[in-house]
Amino acid sequence: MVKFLFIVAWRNFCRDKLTSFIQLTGLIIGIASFILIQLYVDHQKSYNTAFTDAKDIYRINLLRGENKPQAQTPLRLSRELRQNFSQVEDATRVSPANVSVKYLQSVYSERALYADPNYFEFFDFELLEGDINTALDAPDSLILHQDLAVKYFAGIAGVIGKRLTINGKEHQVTAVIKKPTTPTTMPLTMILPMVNYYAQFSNPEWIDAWNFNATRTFAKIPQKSAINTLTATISDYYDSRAKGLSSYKTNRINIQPLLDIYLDNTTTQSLTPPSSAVMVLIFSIISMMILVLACVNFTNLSTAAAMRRGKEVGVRKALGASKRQLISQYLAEAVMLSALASVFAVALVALCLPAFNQLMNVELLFDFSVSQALQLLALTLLVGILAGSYPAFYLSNLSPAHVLKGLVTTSKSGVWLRQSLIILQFAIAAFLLVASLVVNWQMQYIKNMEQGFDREGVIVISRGDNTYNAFKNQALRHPDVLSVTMSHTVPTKATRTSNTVRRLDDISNEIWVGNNPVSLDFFKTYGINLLSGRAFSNAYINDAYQENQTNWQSSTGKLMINQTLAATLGWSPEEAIGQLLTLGGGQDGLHNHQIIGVVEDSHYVNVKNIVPPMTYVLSAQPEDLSLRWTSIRFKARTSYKALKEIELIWLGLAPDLAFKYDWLSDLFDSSYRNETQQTELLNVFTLLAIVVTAIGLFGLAAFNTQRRVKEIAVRKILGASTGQLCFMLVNQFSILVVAANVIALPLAYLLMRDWLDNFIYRIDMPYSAFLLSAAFSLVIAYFTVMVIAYRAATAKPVDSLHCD
Amino acid sequence: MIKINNISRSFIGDEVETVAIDEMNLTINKGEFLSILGPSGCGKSTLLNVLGMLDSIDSGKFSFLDNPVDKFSEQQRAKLRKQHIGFIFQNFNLIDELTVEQNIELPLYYHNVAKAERKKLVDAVLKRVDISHRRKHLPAKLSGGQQQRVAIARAIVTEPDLILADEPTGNLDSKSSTQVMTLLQQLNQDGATIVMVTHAAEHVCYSSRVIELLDGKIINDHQVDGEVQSGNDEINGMAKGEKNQQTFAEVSCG
Repeated sequence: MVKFLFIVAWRNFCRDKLTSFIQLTGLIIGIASFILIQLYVDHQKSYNTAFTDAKDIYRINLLRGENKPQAQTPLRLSRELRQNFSQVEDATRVSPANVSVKYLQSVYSERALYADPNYFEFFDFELLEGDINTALDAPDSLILHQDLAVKYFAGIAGVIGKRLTINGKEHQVTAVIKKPTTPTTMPLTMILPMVNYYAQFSNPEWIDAWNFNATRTFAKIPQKSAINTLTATISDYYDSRAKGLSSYKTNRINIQPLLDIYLDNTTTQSLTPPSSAVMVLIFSIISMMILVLACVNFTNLSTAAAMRRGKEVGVRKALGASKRQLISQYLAEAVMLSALASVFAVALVALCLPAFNQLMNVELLFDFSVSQALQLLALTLLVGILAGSYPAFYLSNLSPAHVLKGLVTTSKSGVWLRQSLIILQFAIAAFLLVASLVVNWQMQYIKNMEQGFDREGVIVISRGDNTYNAFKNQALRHPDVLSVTMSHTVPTKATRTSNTVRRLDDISNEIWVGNNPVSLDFFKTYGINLLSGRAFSNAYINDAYQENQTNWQSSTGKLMINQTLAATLGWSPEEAIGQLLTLGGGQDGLHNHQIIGVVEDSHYVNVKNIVPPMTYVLSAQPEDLSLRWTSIRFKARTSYKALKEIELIWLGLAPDLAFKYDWLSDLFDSSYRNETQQTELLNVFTLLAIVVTAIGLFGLAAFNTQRRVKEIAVRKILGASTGQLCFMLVNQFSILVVAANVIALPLAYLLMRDWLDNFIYRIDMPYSAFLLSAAFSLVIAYFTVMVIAYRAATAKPVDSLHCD
Repeated sequence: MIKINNISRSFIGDEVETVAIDEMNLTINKGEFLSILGPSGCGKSTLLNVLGMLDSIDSGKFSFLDNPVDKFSEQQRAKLRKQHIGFIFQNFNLIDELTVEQNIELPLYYHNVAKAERKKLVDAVLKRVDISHRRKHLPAKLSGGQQQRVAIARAIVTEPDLILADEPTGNLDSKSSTQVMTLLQQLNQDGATIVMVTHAAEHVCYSSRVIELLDGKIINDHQVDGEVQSGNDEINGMAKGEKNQQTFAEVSCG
């Protein structure tokens, strides 16, 4: 019986090759897309799941004033949690920093994590070598991830005991971590003991300061129900200690599950740039949509082909087949086809995975494990049943008397269903089209909008404060170098936000400002335009900012501010020049400083954040106000050789400090990397959705045209031109496409409006996207049907008239 | 009106080549009502398709109203066909989704006739074939004879110079057949040139000339003489000719 079933299914498949091919292709694309997106979604959701205690681990984030939650916390917080809160079983800290690694004759820059000795009790990575319990005990310990071990020692075996000089101090490898297969938000780099982190502080009091946030704190809280009360009590505890130390009015914390960290893009300062939960949800929905589209193709073409199979049903029924037997026969056929599609889809996924991984910058694996195989089996069954059930019930319900007379063709409900399904498909396609147009345009907009700084031709180097003056002198002699500066922060990175300023005549009104201590030539290097007044200069000895902590009022230094701050203070750029602003507050005394210049607004972090009111102060020497980034502006089209020459100057002055530079334009691009990737993914799958829809329409058009081939011949004999016939054939679908757009576009409008509202800097709702989508879907439909219509309209009528 | 010289048309199937028309010569004059008789597969329909320019010829000369059709492109032939020829089929070939009057209006629409004019012409032709009372019906609701009258109305609404009828009574009962044949005869008397393929020898009597085909060749060609009187059981019109005595021995008109 099964064999018989299989034979009938196979013959049917072969009989109408075009329909079968389209059904199969649609299902293959649908299933392959679904598998790919699900792999990606699973990957996105699997961050940190490999850690044994992942469910009990939480990150403590600070909520200061109106700021977004931040992951940076005081260094003492973990100790306080362990000692004073019984529900906290344990706590650990992780602080990232760039370090210079000297090995053989070369200096490399690496990102390192400084961690507490109990790091592995939280994040139990598998070790290739070494002892997890003691690896971080000695102050000169060094733990390498697999890739780094390979990089420095060309292998992973026998690395224990080898030495590397890190920031001038010798360290000994105590363990090598195996590259995990499950993604994690803990950077896969080198791990150093936390004590070495302290050693870099210029002020040892920072270790115990409540207002010096320099580490990420993780806590183990086995009792889930305690989270709410703990949040309240820790917040109060923290607030009572941090209050008054800064200008923030409120100091709260939140307790965030480790498993939620990766998909939370609200909290700032995560160790790994976060992804977006919304995008992951959207992709899940898209994968469902494409699968539905493919199932619809199947259903649609199957019911259309019912005409052909109607006779078979009639004969079977007349021979005594029960309805149930017929249903199982047709369902089995659908499942067989979906199984065949699954096989091809798996091959397609395997083929596309490398490109997909490259596009999304992930390392997805499709290893066909037992669970993956089971899921695929379930998917195959689901698709088969979903796609095959309507045709099965439809066919088995046909009355044999009718079908044998050939009356299936006039079934109104069948036509109605097929048309509704076409509408559904085009609605989905139109919706995705609008969504991707809007998303693309918005991303283009924020990437191309005026940033307030010139990002071309600038490199940013981490640190260099000790040798800055000599370096600047020597670098400026290089013919390709236009200017050199140093600053506390640089565009694309976060600013300090804990400062306030006030107008002298409105002293009670605090205005929150970002602050960036800079050295000379900062504005010139970054191409930030001066609107009024002057920039910091050597010619004025009082420009440099200096706080006098014993007598606050005698603090000195001039201010430069940005346009937004001038406006916030109620001044035009010209009016602001010469005005005095009051700084300080909180623990510090108040002190006044004069504004000497107003510059154009420039974005820090990225344009997902609003431009804050900004103050700039001059740091006479880099170490005065802890300047951290050296920046160099080059002439246009500088050569790699010039960079090597600058590196030689750098290493000549600081042989232990790696010349680790990034182009500002790369930093800028990477701040949008997740968005860019996800936009591309959206584009790809929108395209696939359109393809699946189009081939479905192609199949249905072919079918409809075949049904009307005689009518076409008659019309032709009566004098219809090819153009008139094509128009007639194409036109029947345009009303469906228009209807689909009428349904999809309002929905798309609502969703895209909400999505755009999440952006501070956004495009106006682009109505042209809706027009384009409607026009494009019509064009797709016309083009698809036209291929069929033209062939039918140019066929010789005499051939069609005798095939009754 | 039509002159064909030495035309041939063959079809190449999977294994054999079938010669449908074999070096045929034929002249059809304006005002004639020509019947084409012959057994299945003798080339009747192919000849009709060739005359209607639905099919091309392999060799020979074909002139229609002094146009060298054999040298024409598909497009030129379509144009000529559209202007001068009306078709009537055995299976009517009405469009199921259109009403009677829409079916009849269709060729006028394709001839770019203005809407008011179309209505006038359709009304007139509906009366002529006596089907006005069914104008709003879909073809499926009509009897075979009524459907064929609609098909005839559609064929003549553009007042073609030539009407080609492919077994117009093949799907009809005898009463409907008689009606249809009478209608065709009237059309002929009103000036239309008609070429009809038929299996029914008795219908030959309605025509003015008959040719008989066998294996793609004309084996008989002669005038039909005598009035056809509907309802008359007697043979009152007999084809006259020297070579056709046995062929038409059994033909009875009426």
